[in-house]
Amino acid sequence: MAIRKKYLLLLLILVPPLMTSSAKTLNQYLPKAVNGWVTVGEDHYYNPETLFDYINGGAELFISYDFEQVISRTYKKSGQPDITVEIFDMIKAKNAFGVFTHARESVDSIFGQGSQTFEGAILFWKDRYYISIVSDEETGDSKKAQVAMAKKIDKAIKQTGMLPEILDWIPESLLVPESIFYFHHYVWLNAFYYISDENLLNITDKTDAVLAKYGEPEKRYYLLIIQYPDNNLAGDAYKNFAEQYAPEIKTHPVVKLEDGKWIACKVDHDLFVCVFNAHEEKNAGTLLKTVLEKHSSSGE
Amino acid sequence: MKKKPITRRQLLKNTALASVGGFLYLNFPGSKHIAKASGLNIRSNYPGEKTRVVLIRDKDLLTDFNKPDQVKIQSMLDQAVVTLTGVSNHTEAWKKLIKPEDIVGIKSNNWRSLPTPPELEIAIKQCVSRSGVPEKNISVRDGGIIEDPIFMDGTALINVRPMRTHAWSGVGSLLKNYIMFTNNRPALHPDSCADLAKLWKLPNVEGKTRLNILVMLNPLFHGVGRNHFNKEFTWEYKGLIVGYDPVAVDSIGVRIIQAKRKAFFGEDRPLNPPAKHIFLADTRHNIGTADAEKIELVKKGWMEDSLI
Repeated sequence: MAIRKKYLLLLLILVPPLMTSSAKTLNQYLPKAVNGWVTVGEDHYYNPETLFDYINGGAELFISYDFEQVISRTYKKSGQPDITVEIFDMIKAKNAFGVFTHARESVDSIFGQGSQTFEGAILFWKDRYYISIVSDEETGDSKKAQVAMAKKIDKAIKQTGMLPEILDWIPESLLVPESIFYFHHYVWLNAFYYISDENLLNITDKTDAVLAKYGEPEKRYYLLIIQYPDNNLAGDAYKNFAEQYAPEIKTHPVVKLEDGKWIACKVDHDLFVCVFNAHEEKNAGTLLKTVLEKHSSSGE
Repeated sequence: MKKKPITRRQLLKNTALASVGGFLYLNFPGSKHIAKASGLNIRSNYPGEKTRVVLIRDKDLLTDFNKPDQVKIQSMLDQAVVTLTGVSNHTEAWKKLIKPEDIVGIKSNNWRSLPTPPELEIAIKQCVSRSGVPEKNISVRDGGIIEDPIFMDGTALINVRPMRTHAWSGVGSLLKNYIMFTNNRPALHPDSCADLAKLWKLPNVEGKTRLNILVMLNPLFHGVGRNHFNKEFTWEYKGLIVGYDPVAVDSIGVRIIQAKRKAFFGEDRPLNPPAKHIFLADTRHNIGTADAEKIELVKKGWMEDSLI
């Protein structure tokens, strides 16, 4: 008990300064005023325990990507819509990229390492940060202010982050570039194409997974790559997938399913690769083979 | 025994399962398509009656975003209830649903970006009053219902909220609208809110819901950013979906949302994550039916681009 008390005391001494330090880090990326929009009130900070209070219903998305903290600041200008800016600290660049891939409809790097502009909103990621600049309504002036804010924040964050290594195995031929979707929580497995309601591929926060679309919209097929911490885990996942989904792949990696579409799956060391929904056997087989070749040639 | 996952492969192989889950997971429009795709026969007979769901739309309903004309929304609601109950006029229809001695909680939704329109709340409240319920025995609210004796000790609930996609549960619709009946909301978050139907078995909820109204005036069919809201991803559907069974109503709403996503994006774009809680409300919790073949969808009014 005495030891526990000692640790508690230590935590009380250490934690507040650490929180202040982190808060200051996020604070420094935000401008004080832009194009007449000025800060009103205090900044707000939320962590994984309090994020639900802030964005109930949307918090889980960020938490599924190891979210640590967010700063929220509102800017006001008379006669114009409020603009709320948030910087989410996602700990690692790959997590910031992953959250960003949820909203990506086109390849655009106007701000940060990837950005997306909608009516009343600019979203982008840079290094370990995911940035959201949003107003309820959009005017010509508010859009210009949002653009100016995005530029300032982009400039203030000096570092760039590394993309997840798993993206290296994605073949470019026939790829829909904006479709690349990175995740490490099984809930996102069905993002493009329903596969299963359970975590039959044992995706955890220790695995990296990516989905990508290929081909024309009317003949879309999907690539899934999962990188496991070790070969045994990859092998176990493959075995479970084969048993639950397509036992035929154990004897032949390219199989035609009941809907007339082709599936192609293999495990290679720590990598599980599967192509879904191919309209032609050749497409499924070629894409699978290309991923495995890229992986092999990397020396993994 | 470990339960088997519901996989695409299983849905393709198993017509019976596919008729429940096919359109929720695979964007299949109905079982005929499934039967054709899988080469299996269509099931044709079920014991018991189908559950009735009413879709009603009015092309001149909206005066602004999510703002209906008061007279028109009242008329739509009355027509929907008449059709649902099968009686001759709206006064009798509402009397069938609500008795003068009832204590009625109207569970609304005040999500900032897309709330239940006040005009519809007023219309429902007027209908309840017409049934003879005194003002003091009616409450309309979203937050704070567990401190409201009308909701906690009342005899009847009316569930009303807009349809929208949701970042974690696939959609926010009728089943999810009762989440305010618990203080422990995070307990329902695991596995993308798979077991939201448990809410409907809470002692203050079970058996009390007389009517479910899914608001489809400007549904949100896709979400982006931390708000999960952008007007770019709403459209003027100008409708209400009304029924006794929240699972059936929600499943009809999901079909429309999926059809809109396909039309907008030019390809199948499944809900992410899938709205599995609706499927499980049927198959695991037996709250209602998500089976397209067990739902009688009655369409009223303007049906251009109804997507169903």
